[in-house]
Amino acid sequence: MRYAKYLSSDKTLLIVLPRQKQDMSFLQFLKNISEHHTALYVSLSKTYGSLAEKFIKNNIVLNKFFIIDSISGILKLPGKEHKNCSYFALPNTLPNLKKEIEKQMKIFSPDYLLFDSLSNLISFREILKGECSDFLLNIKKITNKKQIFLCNQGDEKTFKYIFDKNKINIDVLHWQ
Amino acid sequence: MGRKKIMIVDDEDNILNLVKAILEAENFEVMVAHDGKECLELLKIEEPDLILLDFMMPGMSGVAVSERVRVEPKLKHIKIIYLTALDVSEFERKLLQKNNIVDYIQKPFDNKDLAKRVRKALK
Repeated sequence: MRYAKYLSSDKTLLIVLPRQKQDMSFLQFLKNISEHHTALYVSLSKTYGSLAEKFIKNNIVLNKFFIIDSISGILKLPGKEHKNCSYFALPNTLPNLKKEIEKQMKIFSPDYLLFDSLSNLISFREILKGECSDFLLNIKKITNKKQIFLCNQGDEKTFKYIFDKNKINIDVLHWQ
Repeated sequence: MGRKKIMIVDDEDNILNLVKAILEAENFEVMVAHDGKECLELLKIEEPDLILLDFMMPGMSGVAVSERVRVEPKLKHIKIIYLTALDVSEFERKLLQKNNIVDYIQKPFDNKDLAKRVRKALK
């Protein structure tokens, strides 16, 4: 697995996803994570239902992930109760999202924190009140566990600038 | 019969331009709005047959716009297709398709598929 070195590094990882056909290869990445590790998956792009559907289709062990679903609320979809999911209702604030992440990191105690995605964090900027820069710095302080952030191709320069500004060392992995 | 009118609402210019080009090639009359507020303003003077509506836009979300359209007697007949990067399950997709919401197209989309689904929605 060519990205193994990125997972074993101490640095925060920024994965840059191509805009086209990003699903299949990224699901393979999640599958590899689920074989040996657990992750808190903060979703600003997919509902819990969507992730569960994809995981089942691709033989990914769902209970290796705890999912914070921020999407069902904005779409006004009824969020069913699941033991490995919490719903973060929007509109809400970034400090509250940070609190929810902190809470679930303590309860679930995963190996990784996976944030999908920074590009959507920017798209939600008007309903998620708060500064992206402060949020990333605060998330960094929550845990010393590996943090993996996703962003869309084209947005990576912006986020690299924000990480650098906050003195957060990152590896950048361009997903093929 | 005149050409069918379609309004595209999206805050990303590249999406607006791409979808506009796809639909104009299909001989639709196309108008664009960059956010929910501009969409609602345009709807005071225009009456499209269909709105292609993004979810995540500055100001009003796509859901808020569709709710405003649905409760307005003069507008509630207008069909809406959600055009969004947000990913939902098949079941949730069906849940979202109620009232005047007739389809849910996920970005990135296939150009031919988009045109086909727009034609189907307007039949």
